[in-house]
Amino acid sequence: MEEETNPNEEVVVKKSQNWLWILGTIVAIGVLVYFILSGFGMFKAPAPATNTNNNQSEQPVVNNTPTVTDENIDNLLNQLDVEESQANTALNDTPIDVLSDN
Amino acid sequence: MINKNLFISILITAGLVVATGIFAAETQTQTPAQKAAAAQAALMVKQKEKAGQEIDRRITFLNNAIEKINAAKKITTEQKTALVSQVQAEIAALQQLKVKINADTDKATLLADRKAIVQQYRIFAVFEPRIAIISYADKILNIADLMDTQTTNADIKAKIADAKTKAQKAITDVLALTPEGYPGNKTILQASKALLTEARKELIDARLLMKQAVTPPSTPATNP
Repeated sequence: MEEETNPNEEVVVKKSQNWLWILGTIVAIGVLVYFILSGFGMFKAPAPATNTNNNQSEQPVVNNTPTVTDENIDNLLNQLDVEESQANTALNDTPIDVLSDN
Repeated sequence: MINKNLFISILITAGLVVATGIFAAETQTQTPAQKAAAAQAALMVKQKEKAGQEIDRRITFLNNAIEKINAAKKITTEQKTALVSQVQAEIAALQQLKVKINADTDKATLLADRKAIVQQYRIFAVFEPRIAIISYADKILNIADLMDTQTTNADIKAKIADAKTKAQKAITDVLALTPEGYPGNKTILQASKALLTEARKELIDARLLMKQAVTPPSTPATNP
């Protein structure tokens, strides 16, 4: 005697299988969308701001306006050591090689 | 139902194929010519960036130089004006060069422009020593003037006058220099600096004499 199947049960089983396929499709499309957006750089972290000015060497600004009094002649003469040193540095300065690619 | 499942399977497979294609496109093997072109472009970007930094460094120096020139007391207004005008002209030219470098598209032009940063403007080879010498000489002249008012001794006054003459000559000589005169004018820069070293020594000697003049003979003079 052939066992009869309930048509309603068959519909329920098919519906549950459909949900699996739909879920799989959604996941696959999600992965696809992710890859596409990745291709356009949508998920890249923003590049950190670079300081293009970091190689600059600040030239020291010498105080040119000392108050000249009788008492500070010695101090002023001592300050000439700094000027002497700066002049030597300026004359012997080897600038950074602009043409190097490093 | 089978057709529906088949359709969904094809859809998923197609999605995976497309995704794989995107990744494959990113990692696609380039021809040697394409690789060379890409490497050249990347190198030019790097060279432009470095050139820009070097130009900025020079402009910063020149702006500080203007402050030093304006603070000098012993050069004439005309000399200040002329020197500041020169510096401002260099700043403007460097700014134009920076714009040009950023717009360069071939490596030969870029190389020529990068060379110009150093060879045409000579900021650190000529301007920096010039400004340093003028600043140094200006201070010597200031101190010499102050010391001159503090003594009537002829020997001391003679040393002070000699120091002033040397400092003044150093200023006059370096003011006449131009970037185009490099490297020939390096000799003048070195000679001017040597004059200032001598002038400084004369002021120190004069100061010692001044102290000895007011110090009892039994007390040894101290080195300032």
